[in-house]
Amino acid sequence: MNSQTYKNNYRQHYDYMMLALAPLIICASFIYSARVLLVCGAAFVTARIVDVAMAVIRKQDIDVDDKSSAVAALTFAMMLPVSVPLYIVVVTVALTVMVGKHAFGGKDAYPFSLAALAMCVAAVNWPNEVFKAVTPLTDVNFWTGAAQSALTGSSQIKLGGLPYISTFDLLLGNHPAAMGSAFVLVIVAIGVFLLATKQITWHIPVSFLATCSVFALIFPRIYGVSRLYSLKYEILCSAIVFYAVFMMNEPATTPKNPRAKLIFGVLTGVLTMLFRYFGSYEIGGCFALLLVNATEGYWDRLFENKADDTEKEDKPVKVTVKPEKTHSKHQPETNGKKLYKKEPVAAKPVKAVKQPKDIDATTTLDIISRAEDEIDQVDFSTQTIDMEQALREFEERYKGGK
Amino acid sequence: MDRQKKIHEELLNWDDTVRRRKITLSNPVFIKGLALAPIAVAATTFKNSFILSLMVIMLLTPTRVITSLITRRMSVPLKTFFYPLVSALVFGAAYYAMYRMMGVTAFSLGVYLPILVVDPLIVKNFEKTRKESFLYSVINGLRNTAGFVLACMLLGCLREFLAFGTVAGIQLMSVSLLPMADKPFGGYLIIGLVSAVWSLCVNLYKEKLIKEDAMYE
Repeated sequence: MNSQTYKNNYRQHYDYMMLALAPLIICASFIYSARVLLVCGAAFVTARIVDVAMAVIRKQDIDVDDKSSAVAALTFAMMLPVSVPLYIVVVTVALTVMVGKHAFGGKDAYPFSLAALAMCVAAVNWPNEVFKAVTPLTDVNFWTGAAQSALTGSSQIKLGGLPYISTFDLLLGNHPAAMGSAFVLVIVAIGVFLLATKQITWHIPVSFLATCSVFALIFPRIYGVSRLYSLKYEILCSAIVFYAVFMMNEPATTPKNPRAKLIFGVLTGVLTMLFRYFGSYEIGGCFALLLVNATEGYWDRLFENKADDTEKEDKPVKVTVKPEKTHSKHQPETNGKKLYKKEPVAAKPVKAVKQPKDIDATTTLDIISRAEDEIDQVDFSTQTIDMEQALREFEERYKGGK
Repeated sequence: MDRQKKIHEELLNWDDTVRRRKITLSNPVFIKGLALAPIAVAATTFKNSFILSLMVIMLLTPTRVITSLITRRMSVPLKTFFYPLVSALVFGAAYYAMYRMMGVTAFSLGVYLPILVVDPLIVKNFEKTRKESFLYSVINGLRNTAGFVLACMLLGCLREFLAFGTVAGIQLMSVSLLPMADKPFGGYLIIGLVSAVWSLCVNLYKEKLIKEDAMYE
């Protein structure tokens, strides 16, 4: 794949991701009021402005087609509650695009998922505002975001309680949660769409979800009920499905090799569950993803090398039979096809280089040491040296080992 | 005419110009990246930055002057031993002086004051083989100190403002723009951003000088 096709694929991926985010934004606007549009708009505009500003500062062309920051900003906005103050969105997106993207080389070069980074920055800075969930279909002040807050399902699990939400509501996202990460059915449909359009592959989402499920089954956090019941709440109350579809398939930050992708998904899954079980924040997936992003290149290299080794072992040894020397370009026909081969060219006789007799090793060393002494005497900071003149003088003085 | 000559000479001897201007063009913190650990961890507020700066004022120049006088004929390995030793002795005196001035407030930074004893900001000169005159070491020590104090106070005020909305305890904003600014990782992030802006300003200044020089010609 040449670099141009590769870049085009990147661009296409972000176009599709923008399209995929649209249903989520519409659903969230319906469930949580029109303030969702305000938050998403603030995130989107900030990302674009910072991108342009950084391009100007870095003296680069402004790339209007680069939508990676905008996609990351909207994905980040979908993980926030609708009541989030706007300045949090603006500051976080600006900081993430500046430090997480442009400090690492800009588009297609950043190693860490921007949305995950933004979420971590927001969570560390404003945990009270970021983890405050709003009850669906309640009044939310458009400008201030003041709304009736409620405990999320995953918070209840963390506190040792049993969330009482019907499976239907869990699938439809009709429970207190972040703006866009709880609509499981919609997210799964979007995932299928992205798979069908070949914008993502199955490796990472499937391995990630399978690992999280197995972990939740083996180590249930809700006691006194069946393990499957615990698994249902672990997966559907949190944003795990959202991570699997929207955050873990960014081409710039995930491995390219299929086997590396599987390892990537499994590792992220294990770390996500560990963060959720033992960490203080609910967004374990973001922290886990950032950690595993750092190993992305390693997995690709590991499996590429292994593939190379296997190829070498499997390949039968080629026996090359040297053709007899001939002066004709036309080789005898094999299977009716004419073979054309370059006429073997006789090696040119190498001219013997005449070594100067008068310069032996001792003289050369002497010349070098004298030259070094002279260079030491020159004050470079105060004199301007005419290099041509200096070379001429040097040649005149030391020519022939004098 | 004088300005033209001055600009031309500055550009001609740009390395010397940079070396001389330790407050701006070769700031020990923003350009050279010295003393990052104490600043990132301890310089979270105006008060903490002031304590850190005061310690560096009392520590840097005296250490440099004393070591330049007594280690003139020493080899580098011996200097490596003597520099921290002198620095530690000066630190002891400075710490006592600070305790007399400020009481227990002087201890509020914990290990981040004693750690200055072995910070490259104070002891980096042991690598230099060139002998320093008394006057040169005093002037350079003061320049380095001024550069550090400027950076430390600037970062302290900025971090206090971002984290708490105050500067030197005076409330300027009701919301905190970036609460993580008072954490060590936030400190590194802000140092990085300010350093980037600082380097940009240095480059712009050089470009401006080149343009001016070309205009005169």
